[in-house]
Amino acid sequence: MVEIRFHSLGGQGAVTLINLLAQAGDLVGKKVQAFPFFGAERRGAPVKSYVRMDDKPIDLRSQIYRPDYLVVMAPSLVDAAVGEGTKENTVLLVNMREEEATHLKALPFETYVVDATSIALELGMVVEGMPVLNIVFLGAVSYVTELVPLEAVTEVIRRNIPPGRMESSMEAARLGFTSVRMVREARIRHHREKSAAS
Amino acid sequence: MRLVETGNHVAAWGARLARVEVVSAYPITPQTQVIEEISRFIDEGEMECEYIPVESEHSAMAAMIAAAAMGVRSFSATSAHGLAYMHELLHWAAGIRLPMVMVNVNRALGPGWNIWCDHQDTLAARDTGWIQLYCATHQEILDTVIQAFRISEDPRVVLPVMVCYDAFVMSHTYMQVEIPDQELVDLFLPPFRSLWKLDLDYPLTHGSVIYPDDYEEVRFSMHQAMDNARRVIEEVAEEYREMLGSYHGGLVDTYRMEDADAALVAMGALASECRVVVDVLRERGHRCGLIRVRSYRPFPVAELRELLGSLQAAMVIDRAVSFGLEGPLFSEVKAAVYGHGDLPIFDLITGLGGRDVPYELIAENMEAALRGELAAESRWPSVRLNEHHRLVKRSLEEYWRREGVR
Amino acid sequence: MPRKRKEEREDIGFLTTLSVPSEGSVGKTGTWRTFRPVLDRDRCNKCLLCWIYCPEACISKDLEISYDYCKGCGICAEECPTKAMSMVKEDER
Repeated sequence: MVEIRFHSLGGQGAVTLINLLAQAGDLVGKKVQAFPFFGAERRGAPVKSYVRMDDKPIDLRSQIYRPDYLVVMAPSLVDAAVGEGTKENTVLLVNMREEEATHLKALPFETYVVDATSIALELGMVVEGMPVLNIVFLGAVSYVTELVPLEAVTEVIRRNIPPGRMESSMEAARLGFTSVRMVREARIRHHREKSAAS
Repeated sequence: MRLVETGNHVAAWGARLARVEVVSAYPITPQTQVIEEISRFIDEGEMECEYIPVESEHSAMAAMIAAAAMGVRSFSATSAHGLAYMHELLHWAAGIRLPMVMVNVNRALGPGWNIWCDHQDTLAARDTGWIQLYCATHQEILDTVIQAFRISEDPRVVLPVMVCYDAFVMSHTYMQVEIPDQELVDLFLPPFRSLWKLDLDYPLTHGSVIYPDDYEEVRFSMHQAMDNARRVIEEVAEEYREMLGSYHGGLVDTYRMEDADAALVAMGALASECRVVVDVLRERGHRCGLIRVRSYRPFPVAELRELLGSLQAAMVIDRAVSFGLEGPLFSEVKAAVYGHGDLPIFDLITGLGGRDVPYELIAENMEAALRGELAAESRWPSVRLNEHHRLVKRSLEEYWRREGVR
Repeated sequence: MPRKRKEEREDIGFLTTLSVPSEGSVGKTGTWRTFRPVLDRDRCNKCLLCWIYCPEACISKDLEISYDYCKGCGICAEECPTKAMSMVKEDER
């Protein structure tokens, strides 16, 4: 089983992100589970969301304390996200420009960044002043985790996104997929094959 | 057709496939998505159904009673305070023997105001005469809503049915569900024919006065109907398996009980989590199994006696508390096996108000119980005083000093 | 101690609290009466207040009184604005 924990801010679109990611997992034959932790959500407040994928039915229902992948959609949440629990071979994906990632390099994880905010702004994916990052991250998560191929991502976009936003969404997913940069290498090199298989 | 959907939307699909004719409900977190989705189905012409918007849950159930009394297949959904608010009318619906199905998304009762999961709401409605079925997967929610109409409308039963599932853990979680063909569901669940209904050509009063000479017989009839429901729930689950393929157990669902010498007993999504506990404990050398109570009313007395009879220990997980006694499921499991051996039974009260229950917590406690380190009573294994609690205590002490209260 | 055999229970089937319109489910309540209402048709202005107020629907719209079921409660006499209805002791008719 692969477990992913997302940390985001209300308004960035994480709930849609985990829904679409679960649908993509379904398309490639995985058993899926996706849930946000519902708190006192307001726009701009921290939100945690969780995704599990497995080849067999998923019985676990508790929150994820030792994620295989930790996805942080707002740079301000990195410390809080790590503080919520990781494991030795957790892989980190952060919304950040590569040149700003000095702090991340000090963390003991295989770490990737994607400048999702700039991509969303460039594509005009802004709702009431707030960049919506979910589709960019769908692409980036597809690249980093290799759980779902980009074709599955584009298929769920086709099924879920209204025609008016289709083109920009496809582009956002593609840019999310291609703009990920590794900023710190894995300490344990073989973990990805292992976690994908287990 | 396979969908990736929230538990709430799955419940709405159940109502749609059951060809529900009247829905009367009032929105409350975490149930709201159920009736939003039904409204959308109706608006888009997918469901031929009258949706009655009401100003409260009390009225929602009143409208359900009226609709069911007209011989119409009726459905509602609520949660926690909504269920508490309609409590009186729960007795009315069951007492005048009206078939209907209501989903309750299990949520904690305030205060403290809390929208998250526990089972206090439905367990407090235990003795209203409603059948209560608890689900552990999305597929089970869908299948149980459809099965519930068959159970409720069966002439041997004729009691309302509550289909319960956990707030957020199930209601707002996306998982896969197979949506069966409408034609197959129609074969399984024919149109509703009521035993009686309101009819201008044959006027009746329902819920009228009955005297001490008659009342006990009416209550006894309800009690016998509940007894009959044991058989009907099993039959309906079997028939559903034959016709539609999926099966989630009858009154209970078991996991790895065949060679077990210890068992966990739980309801709802925590019972799903307990499957993981069973696997973990078996890896550590304990022959443990799981009994998931699917039907809380009628209570699976014979099944529990049979399953627990040969064991050495059992541990109940209660997501509710009967203040001044212990966990309610614990009490009832003990009562079921009273006079049948002297099996030690342990209880964990945990997961109240949405407290996350990691499987390790249950595994650790089960191992401690098996090592003989626990007393056979209710424990609250996840209660801890934290910084916030200490702050509240300090502020109160400050206030008491200032006001000379203590 | 030997365990007692479980008692066989009678199956009483489906029973509920329905009632159907019928006359006097507790029999002819007219036998309870001490005072009977008697209408003086000359004083009656046919306002039908007695018809409305009678709790047992014993007075018809034609102002016929069903003495089989009238319990003699006296509400009709109390409500009658012209004092056309009076209560007469049963043994003084």
